[in-house]
Amino acid sequence: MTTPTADPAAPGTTAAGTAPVATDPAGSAPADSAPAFGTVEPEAIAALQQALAAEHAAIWAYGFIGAFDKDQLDISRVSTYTQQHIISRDGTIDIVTGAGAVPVRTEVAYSLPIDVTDDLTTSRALSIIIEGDCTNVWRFVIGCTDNAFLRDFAVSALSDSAVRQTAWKLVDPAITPNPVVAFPGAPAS
Amino acid sequence: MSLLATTRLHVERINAGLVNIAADPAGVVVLTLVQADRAAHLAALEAEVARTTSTPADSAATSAAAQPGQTVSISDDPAEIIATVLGDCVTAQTQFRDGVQSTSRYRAALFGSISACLATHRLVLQPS
Repeated sequence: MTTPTADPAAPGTTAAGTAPVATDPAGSAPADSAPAFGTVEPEAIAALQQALAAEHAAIWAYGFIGAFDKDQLDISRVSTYTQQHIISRDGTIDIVTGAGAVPVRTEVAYSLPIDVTDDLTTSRALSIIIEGDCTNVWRFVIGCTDNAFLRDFAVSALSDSAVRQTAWKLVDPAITPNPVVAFPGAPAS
Repeated sequence: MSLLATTRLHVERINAGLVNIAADPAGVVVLTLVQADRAAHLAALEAEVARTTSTPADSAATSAAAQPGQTVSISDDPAEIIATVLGDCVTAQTQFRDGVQSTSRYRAALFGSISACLATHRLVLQPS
């Protein structure tokens, strides 16, 4: 997994992913001026690229997990969470593109941090790890920018991943007894 | 009310709740988890304020409200205790999220992380 994903109505789900795009007065074409969300610092763009890479990885990993995890509730959860990551990924691409950078692409495949076998536990454990990866990168984004829109976007993405991670932990407490983390995304968490 | 004062008040309320909810093992487990995180938040906020005492404090500044040792009252009913703590989480999540917008990068990351944690607390405190 590159190092640098609750239920659909979960409390942290705040619809990260809809970045405003600057348009000309006449309509749909992106304007040449600064993006509608304001200036994005170079260090923030670098952090966003890491976040985008993590979102790509999460989407890929959930596809992988879907092949192993046959629990009906898990299948529904994986589907919902994949869609949430797709929304986050697309919003991130919009921001990076709007800021004048070329968004990083997804890899063809990723190496997994754990062996996923044909059982529920390893699939869920991988889900917990990938959501943790996403919290790390989104917290980092918050600390790399003064842009209010970007901070808000990143807090949404961070909260969404933290809630999804907790939801997975609640599904299978045997993996991680404590379902919550005091500081999601912090280096020591 | 400042973020620090809010957090201090919420920790005091959870501590009081832990005393009153002792007969409900499941409630004790959940509140203990939340209490540990909120206490960690309080310690981090106090450390952050102490780190920057020479500068004008912003939204994490100290407040006369909810000083250490202040006693708070809470229901004896486990369901009401959980509901109260859940309500505190909702309030605090919004306040920390708002606080992200108007502070330094370091504090923004800290506040964002605490806001995310509070979102997870809402999940574990939700009635099943």
